Amino acid sequence: MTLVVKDLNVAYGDTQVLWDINISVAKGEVIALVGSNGAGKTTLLRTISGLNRPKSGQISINGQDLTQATPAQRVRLGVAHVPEGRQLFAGLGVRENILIGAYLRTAGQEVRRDLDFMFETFPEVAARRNQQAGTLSGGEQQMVALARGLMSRPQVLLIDELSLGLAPVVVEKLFNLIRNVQKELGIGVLVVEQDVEMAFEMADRGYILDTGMIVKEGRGEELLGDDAIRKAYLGI
Amino acid sequence: MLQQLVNALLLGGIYALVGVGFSLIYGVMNIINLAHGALIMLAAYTTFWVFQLYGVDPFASIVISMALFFVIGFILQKYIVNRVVGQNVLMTMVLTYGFELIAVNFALYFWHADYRAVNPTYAGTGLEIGDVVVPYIKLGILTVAIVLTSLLYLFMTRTKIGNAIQATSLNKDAAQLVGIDIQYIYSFTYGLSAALAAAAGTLIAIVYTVTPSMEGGFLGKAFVIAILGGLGNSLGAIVGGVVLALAETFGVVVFGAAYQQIVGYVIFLLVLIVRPCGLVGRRFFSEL
Repeated sequence: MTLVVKDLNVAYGDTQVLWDINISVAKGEVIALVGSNGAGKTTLLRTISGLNRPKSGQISINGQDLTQATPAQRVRLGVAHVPEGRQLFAGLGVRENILIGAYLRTAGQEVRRDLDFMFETFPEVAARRNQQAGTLSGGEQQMVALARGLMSRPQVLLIDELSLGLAPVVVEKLFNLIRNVQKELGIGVLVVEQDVEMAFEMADRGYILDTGMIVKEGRGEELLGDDAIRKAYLGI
Repeated sequence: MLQQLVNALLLGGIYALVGVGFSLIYGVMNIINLAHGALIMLAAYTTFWVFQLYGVDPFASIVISMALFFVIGFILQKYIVNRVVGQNVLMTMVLTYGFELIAVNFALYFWHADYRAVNPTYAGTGLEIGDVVVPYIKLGILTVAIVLTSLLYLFMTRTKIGNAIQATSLNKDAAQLVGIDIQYIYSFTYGLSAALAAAAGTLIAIVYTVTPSMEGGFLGKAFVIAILGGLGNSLGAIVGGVVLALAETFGVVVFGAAYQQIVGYVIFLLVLIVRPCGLVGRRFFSEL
């Protein structure tokens, strides 16, 4: 298992938002994390990448404990987080935004090769490499955010709300891109998604988070076929 | 008239340096650094004493001062200011105001309220072009100011750490997610700002008198310059510096010497009312 989260509890002050979370992401796996607004999905990702501190529990990558590590140390050990709403450096250029994803890497040649790979993978973005990132469309910004995350050569890529504010066609395209890149690089992906149907279709496995607890987990098609889930999340 | 314009441009160089460091700290940490004037004052004294005791030319000692103040600023941020970054504005203002009080009283205690001046041998000589006289000293100051602000621009846009400083100023969460240690960036930024304040203090020591109470005036000017350029937009501060220098210089011509300070502050108020993002507000930067 690449990323393992064990018995994780997270609270904002006195308000506990995550209860005994247990999830794992293996190398080469795409995992979907689904749940309604306020279920704690974003908090979970922020805790894995170190922006939030847990109350108790353990986070590890390849057997190495991350629970006390700073966000920068986690990036170094292979966690990349594409945050909700992209969070690009709007005033910097597209190229700078992608390149800064490799902030902790020192091998200049390899970084430049990876940058070329990103431009091949996301040709729309390549055409706008010298523009300010804030001037791009939502889909293009999401591509820049994904490329920025991949530039750290992660073992696990966390993606928060891939589809936020994007047309379904764009989301589908992004999902396919992620699938291809993920296979090519052999990394694990944990994606938080509102579009439950698409998420479970694309994912190998999935978790359902409800008011801070994992209420269901299973293989993608299994979850899609589950009547209770179809009722609760797909309105069928 | 032409002479006034030349004077204003020469003064603008110093003002740009005064404002750039102040604006930089606000842009990256959202801290109004009330100790900025005190740093300028301490650097001016450093220049004075190094000149007085060891005869080192101010244009040479500027490098030493900048290095020294970079270290002081870095340590100050790392061990003290970092504890309150992100707290409310009042907290950081009280802390930096505390630095200022300590620095001013330190200077008063050890060096007294005397006015002191640095007088290199070449003071008073100048270049005459037609009717316009350009003192060599002021020409040197303007050159230093242009070189330093250009270097800052190159540093911010071309180096990895410069990009990291910009990234931190634009989005702190995202900066951490790409592996930037923002505490380190804060310390580095304060060091950079202190080094720029040191450069300004050194240049000021060459043309003005040095006294513990000089800090108040320059803190006020730093504020005006930074707002004129767009608070947090450190390169806009260069424009702010030149604008303030022009306003002060021509304010004296039109309204008389008594109104020199007022003109600057009136323009400052007008800009705040009409164009609160500054004269050269940059998109995506310093959006309040």
